[in-house]
Amino acid sequence: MSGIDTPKLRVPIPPIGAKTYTTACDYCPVACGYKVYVWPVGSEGGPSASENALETDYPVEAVSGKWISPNMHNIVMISGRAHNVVIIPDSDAEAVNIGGTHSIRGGTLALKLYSPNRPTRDRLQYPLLKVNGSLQPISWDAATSIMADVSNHVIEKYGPIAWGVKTQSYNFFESTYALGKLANVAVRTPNIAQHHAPAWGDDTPGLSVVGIDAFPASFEDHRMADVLFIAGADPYETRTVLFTTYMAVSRAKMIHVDIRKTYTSNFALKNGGQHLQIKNGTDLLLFNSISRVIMENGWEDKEFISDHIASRDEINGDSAWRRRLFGQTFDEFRDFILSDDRFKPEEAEKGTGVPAASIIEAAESMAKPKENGERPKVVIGFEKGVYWTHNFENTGGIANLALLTGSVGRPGRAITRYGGHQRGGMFPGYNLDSSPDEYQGNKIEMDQDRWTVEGKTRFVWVIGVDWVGASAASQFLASRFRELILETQPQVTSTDPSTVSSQLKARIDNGGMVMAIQDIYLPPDTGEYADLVLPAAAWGEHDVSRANAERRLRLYSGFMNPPGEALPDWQIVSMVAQKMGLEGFSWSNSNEIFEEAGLETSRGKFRTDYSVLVETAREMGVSAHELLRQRGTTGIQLPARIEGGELTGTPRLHADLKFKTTSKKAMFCKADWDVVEERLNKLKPGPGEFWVSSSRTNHIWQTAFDDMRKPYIIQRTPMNMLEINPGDAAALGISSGDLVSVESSTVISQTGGETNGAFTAAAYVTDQVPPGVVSSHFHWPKSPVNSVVPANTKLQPINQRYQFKLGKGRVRKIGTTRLGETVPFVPRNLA
Amino acid sequence: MARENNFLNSASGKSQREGKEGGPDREFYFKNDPEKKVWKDSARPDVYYIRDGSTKIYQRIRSSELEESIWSRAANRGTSRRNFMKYGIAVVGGVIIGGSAISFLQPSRTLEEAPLGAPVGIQEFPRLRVAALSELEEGNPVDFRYPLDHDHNRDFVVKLGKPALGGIGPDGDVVGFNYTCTHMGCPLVGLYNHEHKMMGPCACHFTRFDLTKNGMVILGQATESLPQIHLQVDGDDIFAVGVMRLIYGFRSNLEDAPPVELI
Repeated sequence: MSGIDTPKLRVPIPPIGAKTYTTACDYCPVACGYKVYVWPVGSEGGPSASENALETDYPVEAVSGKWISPNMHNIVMISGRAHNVVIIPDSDAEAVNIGGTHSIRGGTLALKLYSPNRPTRDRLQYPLLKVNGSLQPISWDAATSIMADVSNHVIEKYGPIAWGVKTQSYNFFESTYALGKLANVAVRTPNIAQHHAPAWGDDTPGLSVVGIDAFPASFEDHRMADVLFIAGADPYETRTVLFTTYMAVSRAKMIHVDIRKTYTSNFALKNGGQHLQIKNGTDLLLFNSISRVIMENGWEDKEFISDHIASRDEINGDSAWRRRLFGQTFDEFRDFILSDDRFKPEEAEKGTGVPAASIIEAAESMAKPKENGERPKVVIGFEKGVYWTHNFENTGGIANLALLTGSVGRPGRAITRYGGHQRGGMFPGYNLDSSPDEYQGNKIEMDQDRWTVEGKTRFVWVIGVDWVGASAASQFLASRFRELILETQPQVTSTDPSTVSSQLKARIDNGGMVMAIQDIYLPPDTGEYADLVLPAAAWGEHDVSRANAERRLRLYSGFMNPPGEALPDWQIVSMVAQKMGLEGFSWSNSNEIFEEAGLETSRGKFRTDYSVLVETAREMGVSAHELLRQRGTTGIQLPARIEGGELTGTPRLHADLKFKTTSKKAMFCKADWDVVEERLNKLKPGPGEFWVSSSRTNHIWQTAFDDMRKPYIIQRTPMNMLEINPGDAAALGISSGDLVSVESSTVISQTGGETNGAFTAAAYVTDQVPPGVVSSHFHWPKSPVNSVVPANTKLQPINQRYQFKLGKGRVRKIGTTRLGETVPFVPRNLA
Repeated sequence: MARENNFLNSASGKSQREGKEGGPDREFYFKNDPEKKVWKDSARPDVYYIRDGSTKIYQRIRSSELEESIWSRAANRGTSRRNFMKYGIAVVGGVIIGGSAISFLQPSRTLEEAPLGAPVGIQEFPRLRVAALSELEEGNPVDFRYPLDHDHNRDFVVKLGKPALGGIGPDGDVVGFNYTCTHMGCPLVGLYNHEHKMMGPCACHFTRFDLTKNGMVILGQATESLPQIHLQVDGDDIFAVGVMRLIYGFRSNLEDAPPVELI
């Protein structure tokens, strides 16, 4: 699959007349703007600006953003003819990657394109049906008929809750709206969840209690700030251009909170900042201790607090039960923090491992007014290091810091998630009323994984996610898939659609499950359980839209056809829904869905309302896609508004200092260290065990589904790597490049029992991880680190999330590899 | 043709041309085409650049024009025809064809017959002496330019003290690389980290390259390895004979800039 990275010695220049498209990168939430040049093989532009479509002289100047590196070029088939495709950063970009900078991920977009003579050749191209154990091509008509027939059987006999959807949340607005309309509006199932989460709903519930949106800031805020407080995120490796173009050039003091000592940590230290290297799972103790120092010294933003924090009555009157249960007034919050001596810096040092003096220094940097009385401008950014441990409490604790420092809604003052991916979700409302799960008498989104391993999901449609590796206790989930799907009879023995439907329905009635997978490649860990496989179109193969982490909506242009008979996700949903006999799914193109979603579902959304874009387009007599296309790589920051008669974007949410609560006032969140400490004690490693954490790598996007097909990328990481501290490695006789295994026999399963998990990887000996902690790529195919992560959502009952960063297991050397001959094991974190 | 001198004045490594001033200082014009210019490099008496005056692109010229314009003037300054031919490379139709000392005056390969825009294979790279093995000090890069005379073509040879892929010399630890970051073209001069045999982090976007692994990116945003210079040893002399991977800014390593002087 991976191919050979053959150095390319010549790259053609796009000639004048090459077709030119704008798009945005498919990968991280920064979503840099790109230009795509397409022209038939056989011609090329000349090296002077007057002879090529780039309008640039060769050799290209440094930092021009105009150079086409060999990996920015590919050759694909379009309408039966070979075409050159060049995908380069938009050097004219007025937003995001101004000046045409880029990451290694976006810089190799061209390599992801389908090409019959490159490693992308294994794209799914035809609907597949598992007949007598092997996946074989069938027609779309047969595939969608079987889907519809089985679906209707399940819904009628077992109810909508037995009909499940496990999906990525972020494909594109058009795709997610179509799917959401089917699942949430037509079928009305609560059995739907997104990639990493066992349940639908809020990933940052503490922030929501406080009343702040998860993506309210502009990237520009990072350049305006005096202090960047970055927790559980590694912006250089995973939101690269946000780091290089906004953070690194600001004069802000960078405070990096992370259990790992990454390049971002060392960059902060080298430039007068701090690295607060907390122990696993102690984020909240640090946040509460910083809050305490701020309040003990009277450094809190008193004006903001007196004007914008809710009273007890306002909290009691809030429509959301989480706010009524966990909301605090400032006085309540202050008493809660100051009355607990564990939050004194010298006490917090014992739990967090962060020196008291460093905690005090951080608090002072963030909150002590300057001599002229001005407050330091603080941007607080966080991601999964914070919310993949103690989801509710940690997101509440860090949001409290934002309120104390007034870091919201104003230039250079913000709190934001950084995001794991772009924002492409446009789902109509979740069916909370039909969820079987609750917390203290309040309905919460159902735990789909538990429901499924209990055998209550009878049909599941898996879209764009490798479910096994994405779930905690991965191998237990896989074992249940095997029992429910492969070992429950009957299996399919025919290609005749009605026979197939009968056999699948009979299996369901025997207590089994049927799985359909819709994807661009067969997912390595979950693919073997599929009864049906539906090939989807990918980025660049159709016109679609999506927003980035500053809510910037752009059109992602299609410039080539999907391979074989692959179809856009929305079209597959449309075909199945219509065969199920449902109305309202007969769209003829993606713009129709974009407009419908804009008017029906986006309207009124705090973050993603683009309804006026659709209305403006209709007044102008153009399609909404076309209007968005005209805005190129700049797009529009949502929510879109009309101001002075002009369509305009929204740089910052909460700019009016109104919040997402009933009273429009913010409130503090009771972030309870007792709860966290108890959970940590349950999860902590036993003798001879390590904390098993996980992390992401600069050059690898998500599950490496593209990267394993980019020869230049994957040669550097041919297999999963396990970071281990040099002291621990020496004690275990492990060197970089050794084959190691991680195992645990005390993994808590989805049903609360103990199960086991094991995965292997190549060792990377590095001080990026502290002693006692190993860290794997967060979701490497066929190397499921999450198999040693507890899967009991009862541990996080407020909103049912996993503690992905808090796995544990024994580590030992089981062999060697030859990676050392070709792979750099040089420290990655040198600043 | 503007040229920065920071490369030659760099403190990072010992330049083979130390003490010489870089940069062409004289212009010559073609009699029958005043838009075309021939530039003479004051630091190297036998180096000429030929380019279109308005586009800055190196253009096809006729050998007869060369005869008339360059040779007549060069002869007046005491430069022999033989010296000019030492480059072994001619500017032909926007393509540099090099590798032997016969290029443009060989009847079998006239200017008109040279393939326009044809890819130039690695066997046609020139052979340039860049250093002496006995003079290399471990960890101290020696700088040169290769294969073209352009700012992006600043290179170095270094003795790593650790065997490396593509390494030469008795210990297999002498390697050559280009200095221009393959992310966005920033110069890496002065950023060699001897402890880790690493080049970088680049000052612009922090990419760093492993010099023991064909210049592979360790961490960073470059989409290509640092171009490695193929080296050969002949006695005590180290020669650059080719470039693996594309140098930043170019469409190929042998087009769009004049050849480097051969020593």
